Amino acid sequence: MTGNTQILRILIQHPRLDAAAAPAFRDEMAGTFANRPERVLLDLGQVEFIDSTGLGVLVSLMKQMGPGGRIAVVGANAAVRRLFQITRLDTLFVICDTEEQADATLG
Amino acid sequence: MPLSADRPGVIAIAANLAEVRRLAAFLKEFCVRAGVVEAASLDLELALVEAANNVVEHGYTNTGQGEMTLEVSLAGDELRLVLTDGGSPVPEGYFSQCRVVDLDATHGRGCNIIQACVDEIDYVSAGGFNRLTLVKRLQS
Repeated sequence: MTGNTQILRILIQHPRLDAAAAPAFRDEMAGTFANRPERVLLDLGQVEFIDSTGLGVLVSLMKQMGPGGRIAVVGANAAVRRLFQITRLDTLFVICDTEEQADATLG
Repeated sequence: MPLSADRPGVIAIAANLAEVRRLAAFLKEFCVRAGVVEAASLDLELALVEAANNVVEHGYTNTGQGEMTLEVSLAGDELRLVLTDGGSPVPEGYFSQCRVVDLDATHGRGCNIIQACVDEIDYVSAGGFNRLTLVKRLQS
């Protein structure tokens, strides 16, 4: 976490955030989101593919943040962006091209 | 026999979530060999993974039992996926009438993703087997 900006930065290291990986990812994030962070930057630069189960975990993490919580996503490839677009979750998560843009968005 | 886009490709896997990755890799290799554009290949992978996850989680109730078979073929500009399994069938109309999912739902998006990613969906359950056919027109 970068303390001065209060933005929690998380690098997701699962190349495929799919139904097979989702339980482990959910466990990995449990402690972090138990603290109810308000601003999160999710780096998906190492993620090649997400399915609806992986996406569901991301939604559940956002819901743990509470009403004021916001998540910005960076590093999303074409497959990941397509999934966010199909599911309209690009209206719930802020999809950014750069970390600078994400930082500015999360402010 | 090496995978070729000139003839259908067939792969059988055990019905568990880890094996679904092998289906996806098989499809991607077929698409590369067939020269399918990336956007279409991505859509097909999304649809296939959701369909296969559904078989594992609902058809076989995550028991790890059973198997499914994927046949991939290209005819003209249509890329066709046929996924066959011996698990419990989905309810009638499941793929044609996806339920509306709240934006903040954590489950239930699979059907909508499949619908968004392919041009035709056909589902037949008979003789103890279920056959889901997904068709994507590559010029669309």
